Amino acid sequence: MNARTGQVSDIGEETTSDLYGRLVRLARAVFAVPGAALTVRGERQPVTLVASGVGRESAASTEPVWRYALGTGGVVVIPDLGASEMFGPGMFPLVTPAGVTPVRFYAGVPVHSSSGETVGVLAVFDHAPRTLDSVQRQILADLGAVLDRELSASGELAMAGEVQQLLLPREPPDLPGLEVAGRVLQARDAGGDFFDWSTVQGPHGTRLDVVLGDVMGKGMAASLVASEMRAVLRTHARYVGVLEAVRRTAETTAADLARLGRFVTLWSASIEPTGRIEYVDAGHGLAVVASPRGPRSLTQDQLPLGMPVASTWAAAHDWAAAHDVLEADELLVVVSDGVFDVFGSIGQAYDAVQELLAPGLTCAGAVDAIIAHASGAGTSDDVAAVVVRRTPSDAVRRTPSGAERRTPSDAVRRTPSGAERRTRTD
Amino acid sequence: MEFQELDRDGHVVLAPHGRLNLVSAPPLRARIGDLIADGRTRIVVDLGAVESVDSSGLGALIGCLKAAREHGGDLRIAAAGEQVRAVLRLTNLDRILAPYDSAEEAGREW
Repeated sequence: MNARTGQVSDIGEETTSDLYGRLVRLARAVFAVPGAALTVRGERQPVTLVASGVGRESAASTEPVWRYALGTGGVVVIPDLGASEMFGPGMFPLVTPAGVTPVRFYAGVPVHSSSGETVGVLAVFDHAPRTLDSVQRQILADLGAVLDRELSASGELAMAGEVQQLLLPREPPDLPGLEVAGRVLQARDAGGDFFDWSTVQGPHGTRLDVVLGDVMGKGMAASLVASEMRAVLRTHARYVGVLEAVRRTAETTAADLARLGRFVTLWSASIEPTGRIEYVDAGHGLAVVASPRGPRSLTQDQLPLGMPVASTWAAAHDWAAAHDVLEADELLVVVSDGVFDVFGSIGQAYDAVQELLAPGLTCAGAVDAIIAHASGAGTSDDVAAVVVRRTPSDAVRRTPSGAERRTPSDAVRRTPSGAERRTRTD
Repeated sequence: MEFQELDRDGHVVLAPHGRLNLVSAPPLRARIGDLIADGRTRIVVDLGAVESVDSSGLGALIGCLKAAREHGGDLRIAAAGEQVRAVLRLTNLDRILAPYDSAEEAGREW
């Protein structure tokens, strides 16, 4: 969650690929060579992740040297490939495509994953024979060590992000009469926005429980808290109504949130196929029903979870639920503030929500349009959206949703981002 | 982050400037923690020179508010920009962290 300032923290935002790129450029500058590249193992063939100068074509034409460097334990320096015993004439001569100046000098350092496996080589290339002195060899080894550290850190973070995506609901609930879709796009590998849904047997038949939450802060730390919130809420929501579930979740997590100094906004609801909605808004404030009769917001004046409730605290509150009815021609839209941030005003946001009533737009299509709009507008915050509508119960549209939808719908007004995690190296 | 500190009669006014975020919030939080430990539990944070507050900054303010109240004092914010006010309204946090128009007004009753 960000404080809707339009300005987000300008630190720690550098992406992994940016860092790789900088290290490769640095290597090229330090050794004053025309090319440098980071080339890693691919499924079938080597993949040059980042290149500087003539690095890409140089890496392509020296693939046998890359294989050799991969198998060595340390810095490899070949002063003149043309004269080398291994890659020169009669051995494994390098084939250089027409129009590409042949590489004569090659120096590389293997880089490793967190498990110690050699995954690639950082290499520098020159068109003329040369060599490296001992200081330069050490510098190349040091650059390799920096990449090793970065690869292992980003690998773990990406894995955490993948786990987090897998914890989101993937299949639409099997509940005739209601259609739901949701998606989270994390600003980093992992983040604090989450949503969840499940079907529950209630006193009025089967209902759909839906929640969208936003943990203060970003990245890995926020994602850990998000996982806890989701788990606790899901556990309670199975057995009690939405109001009691939020109350119990607030109590259960209060000590953790206080100790961590974090708070969490939640919008949680039970929705029946008849359209009846019971909801609890814990400081989230971003739930709107788009309606041909004009939009209405489903918000309350309750505080986020994790707000310290000391004995001197006047705001100690008893949770309350509110009610609404979703008509057959309406659309319930819940978003995180990363989405809201890209609109200049609440009025603009409402206008955009109303556009989601476009005929033929599915819930998944609406979610895609929201995410694409927010990411296209350049938000650097996490963005999340859940959309619910009623369907004729004899023609329930099964809508896949979750993490991997990339096709923008007609309602997208700006360039979709394409990638599910915007800063992730692909 | 640089912040000015004014020792008023009965309360302390802290005036950070620039961005209140992941980097700049911890020093402010630490300073307010020290003040509270010294028994200076009435704090005004003047946001007049703050360009932006992100969620980490907001979290720091809430954390300081909690610490101040636990020690019998309070924390008030002053001169917050429209965007900070908007997020406080949206999250209903303005119920517990009411923005004052100016540092003078925030400290008036103290």
